[in-house]
Amino acid sequence: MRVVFKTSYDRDIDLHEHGLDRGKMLGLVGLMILLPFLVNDYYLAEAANTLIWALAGMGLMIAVGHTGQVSLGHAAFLAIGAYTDAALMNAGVPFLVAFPLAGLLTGLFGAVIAIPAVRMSGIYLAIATLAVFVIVEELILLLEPITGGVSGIAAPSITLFGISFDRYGELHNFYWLILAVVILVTWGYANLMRSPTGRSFLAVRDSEVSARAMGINVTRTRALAFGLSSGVTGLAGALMGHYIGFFNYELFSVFISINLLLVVTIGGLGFIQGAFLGAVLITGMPQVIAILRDGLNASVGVDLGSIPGLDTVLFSVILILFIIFEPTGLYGRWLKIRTWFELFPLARRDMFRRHKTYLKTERMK
Amino acid sequence: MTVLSVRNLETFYGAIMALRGVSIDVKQGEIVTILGANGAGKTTLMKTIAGLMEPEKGSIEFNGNSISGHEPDRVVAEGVVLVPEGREVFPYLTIEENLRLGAHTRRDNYAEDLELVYSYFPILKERRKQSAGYLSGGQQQMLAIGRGLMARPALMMLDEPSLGLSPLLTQEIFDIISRLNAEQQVTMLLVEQNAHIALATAHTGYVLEMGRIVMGGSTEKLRASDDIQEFYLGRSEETERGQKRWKRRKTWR
Amino acid sequence: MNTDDVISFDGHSTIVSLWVARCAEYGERTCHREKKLGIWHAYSWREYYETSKKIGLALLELGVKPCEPVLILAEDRREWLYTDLGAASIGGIPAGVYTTDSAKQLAYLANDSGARVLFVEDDEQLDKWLESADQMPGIEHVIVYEREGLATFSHPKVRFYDELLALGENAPDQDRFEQALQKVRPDDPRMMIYTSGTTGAPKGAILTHRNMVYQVLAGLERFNFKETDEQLCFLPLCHVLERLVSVDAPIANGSTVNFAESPETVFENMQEVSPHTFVGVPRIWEKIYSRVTIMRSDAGPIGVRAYDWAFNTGMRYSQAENPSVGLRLANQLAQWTVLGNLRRMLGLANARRVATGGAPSSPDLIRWYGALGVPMVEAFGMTETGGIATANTVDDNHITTAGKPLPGSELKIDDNGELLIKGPGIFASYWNKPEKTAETFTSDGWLKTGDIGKIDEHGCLTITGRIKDVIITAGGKNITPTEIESSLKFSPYISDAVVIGDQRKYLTCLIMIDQENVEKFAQDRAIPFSDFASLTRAQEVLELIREVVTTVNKDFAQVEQIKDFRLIDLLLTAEDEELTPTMKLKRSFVNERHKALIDDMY
Repeated sequence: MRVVFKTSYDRDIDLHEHGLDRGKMLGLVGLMILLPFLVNDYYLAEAANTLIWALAGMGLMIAVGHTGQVSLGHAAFLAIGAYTDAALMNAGVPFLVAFPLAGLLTGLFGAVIAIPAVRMSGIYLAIATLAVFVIVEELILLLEPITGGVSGIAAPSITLFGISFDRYGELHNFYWLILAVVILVTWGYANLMRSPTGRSFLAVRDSEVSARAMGINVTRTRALAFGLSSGVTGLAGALMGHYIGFFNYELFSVFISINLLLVVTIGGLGFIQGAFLGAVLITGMPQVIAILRDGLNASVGVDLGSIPGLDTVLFSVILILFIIFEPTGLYGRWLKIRTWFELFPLARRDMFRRHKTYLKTERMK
Repeated sequence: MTVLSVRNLETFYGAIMALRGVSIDVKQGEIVTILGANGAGKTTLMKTIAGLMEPEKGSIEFNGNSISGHEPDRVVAEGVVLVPEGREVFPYLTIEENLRLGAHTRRDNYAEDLELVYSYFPILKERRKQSAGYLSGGQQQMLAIGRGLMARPALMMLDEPSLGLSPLLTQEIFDIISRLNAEQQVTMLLVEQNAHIALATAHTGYVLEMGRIVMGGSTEKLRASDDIQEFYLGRSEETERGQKRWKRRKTWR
Repeated sequence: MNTDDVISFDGHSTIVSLWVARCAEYGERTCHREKKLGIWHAYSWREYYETSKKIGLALLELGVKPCEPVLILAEDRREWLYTDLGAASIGGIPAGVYTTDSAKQLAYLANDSGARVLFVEDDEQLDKWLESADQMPGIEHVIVYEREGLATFSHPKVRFYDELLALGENAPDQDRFEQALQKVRPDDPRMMIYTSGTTGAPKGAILTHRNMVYQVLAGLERFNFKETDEQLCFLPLCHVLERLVSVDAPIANGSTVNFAESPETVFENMQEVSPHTFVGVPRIWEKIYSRVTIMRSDAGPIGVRAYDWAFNTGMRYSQAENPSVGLRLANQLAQWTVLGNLRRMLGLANARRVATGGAPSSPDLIRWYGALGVPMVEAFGMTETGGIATANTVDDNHITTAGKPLPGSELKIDDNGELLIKGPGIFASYWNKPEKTAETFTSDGWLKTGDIGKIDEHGCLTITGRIKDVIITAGGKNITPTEIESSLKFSPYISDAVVIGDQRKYLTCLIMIDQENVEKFAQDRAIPFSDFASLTRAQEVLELIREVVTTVNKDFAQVEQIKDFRLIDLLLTAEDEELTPTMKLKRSFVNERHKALIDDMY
């Protein structure tokens, strides 16, 4: 455990509690940068995919985790981002312009539809977002000249300053590009949450009445949050488009929306780290199941691959188990583990025993 | 005859020890009050007895049977009813529906008890078809107590009945509490911050501080204690300068 | 070192001239830190000098003469030190009053010292003066540090701290301060410490500059201090130990003193400051140890195993004369995984060495801290010896003794078994009590400590008790109760004990139990109790204490057996008359107050 010797109030809203924290973060970033030299291309591509999902997860986290708005239709924003970016690049706009523009346009779209949507809450909002998703899906088919309709379009290869960031040709560069985007967005997100705007998101999430009493315009705040959320998701969608290469509307199904929701919920609602942990779990688990299955086949000769749908069942069962036994999410579990280590060796046994919670006011804990 | 016997109760809120070994006794037919400042552990004690929180160590015996760690619905079935802090009436149900819910664990005919509650709280009878959410604070408190009565409890636990009520209304509620105890022989465990009225109404009292009992005994003895008078009943000593800003240390002698 | 030699530290023979030099040398460097409203504020050496100068000049304006006592009644804070040095620089004698003292005690001290100026901390302490102002007519000026709660207050004799500073700042002749300072001689009083008076009324011991310069010089020779050291100040400054450790020594060594916010927050503050060197009384060390042990008993199985292994390794390593490479590595591992984290939790991560004194410490306790990786040394001293008389060092640590005398001092045991000390640290006199002063010295100038002790073959001192405390039983046997009491106090369940037996047939004992540890004991065994008094009446608790007494009895002779005991059923605080401000039971008071309990045992 580290204790902070506070000599200034700025310490209270520092991104990192102390130097060691910052060091660990830098170490992690360093490791991520070195990853292409440590693993082969297959796993590097998987890592890139995980990063894209983490980005999308962060997008959804802004809305769900930090502002308390449910969204079942975020795949729509992935789609808008992907199509906008691909279409713009296909029209000759350079990546450095098309990419942010894709995010911006998605964000604006999100903000606009948010304005009526944010007056709803709970189950009504969820249905509204689902409706938006369906509308966007239809729009994709309607705007055939731009989106290629049913057949879809290809996201062109990225070249910046003469360096190729092609997804297949220069996987290392592509990975680093994604990593750079993710780091930038994470840093921006973390800083957003310690700014007054970020705090207003949290206020609206926790108690609308108190937020209004503080002078926060709840509608505007929600719309802003939703706009930012869809914008970031749009950026993720754009990258996803480049990752897949050639895509159509089927890539952005409602299952993607639900997967995204799982990422943020199982990862840890309300924490940036939750998006990352959730993304690792959701993208990594099919891999792990496949590896285990192959291993089982190789060692014992039992071929579970012949049973159809087993992967999906296993995936679902594990997710359900997580939801039942770890309601605070992966990050919540990580915090408990970290606390245990901080107090080592004197962590109280049963320190993390879950208490019954019966009052609504207690459910936050 | 001891109805409730709590021994060495230790309850945690995560890492914080809220109760550090609390032992109290409640005898049949008496009103026992638990006094203490905010954060002393009074509500934690109530919740642990009611089954809403699980104790780490210790035992709770009700009429000779252990109820420690039981689910709250079982605890109610045994005869311990909690009138929670802040009333918690069902706002979308009518008064009568609220009261009927109070009798949920009973299998016999409770019409008589319904009339009894109405006799103690005539205003509830007047408004019995109204939604409970429209009642004032005092009326909601009456409803909550009435709802508790409907279960024909052997022990009724009241958590801060005076919360948010005007002094006049508090007096009224406590008069009714006294009457219920005297006329219906309802044994009561009362958690209160309003020490004046609690010590005037109850027979026995305990003072909780930082999760420990620091004093216990008859309410006469408590009323006479210097520390209670200064720190809970608001007697202030004037010095030469006038009002004293600082407080001496409590010694609990 | 001859008692008449000039002693100087860095060329300065008085604390105040050393102080001026240091302030000039260090300038803007941080000297003190105080925590206010959640953050630690830093104050410089320059500010130390300038504020103390203002106070000194103001005191001169108020007519304070050389060798006039100035009373300070406040908790530890930097204004205490500013007042201390301000008064000392102009030749006054700063004297502290315990904040737990009553108005009556304050009046006694005011009259005994003849002080005209009294500094009080806040409205609470001011009320003590107001209550008995007519009993201490000698006090002409009262200065209050904190204005809170006194917005509408005014009194002709009372002024506020900022007003005093303004008085000093506007004094016409600013040079008077340096002039007065120059006149201070090494044999002039540096400070007056009122002995806590376990027996009889408090006496004001005068310590000279020579005494204190010797102390810091000898201290530096014995221990290593660094300019970069961080210290935590929380023991009362009216006690000689904290004055030496937090005022005079830092002046000499240049270390930074952090003030604890309040006695209740000491542990949190220790965590934050993580001092490099720390002096505490055994009670503090026992409390820390209890906390850790209680946490260990509630810890999960992995934690418990890791804890036991780490301490086992640490114990073997610290005891070993020449540890093997394997043991060294194992200890490193233990430190890195378990003990280091524990030390950070306790605020002892940076402690190079800690000291314990003021009362006997259990050798097991000292070894435990050694195993933890925090070398602990026991020392002995009294107000009359200027603070420290003997001390162990990390390299020369004779556990179960209080160590060797400071360089330049000598010890001897006289025919009665009394410890006599000679050296440059011995105090000058008791204020206005020449007969008492004379009583305390032998004809050839040795200080009669009033303690009974032994000196072993290494020259290390062990204290076995106080002469005045010797009990003579009805059978004519001489018993030193302190030895028995110390053994009893080593048990975590016993906070303090007083052995009774004067003129009685056999020995009995009044015991004050440690609330937290006994409560834990009761909780673990589901022994019901409601308040503290009921805890002391519980059968199992009595059994527990009986066991402790029986175990202790085994180490003592037949005549020294404790035949019966009673537990004090009140939670005593420092404001009770039975306890000294350092939380020790006063024998005479206890005998009187609890006469009924005692008679009951015979």
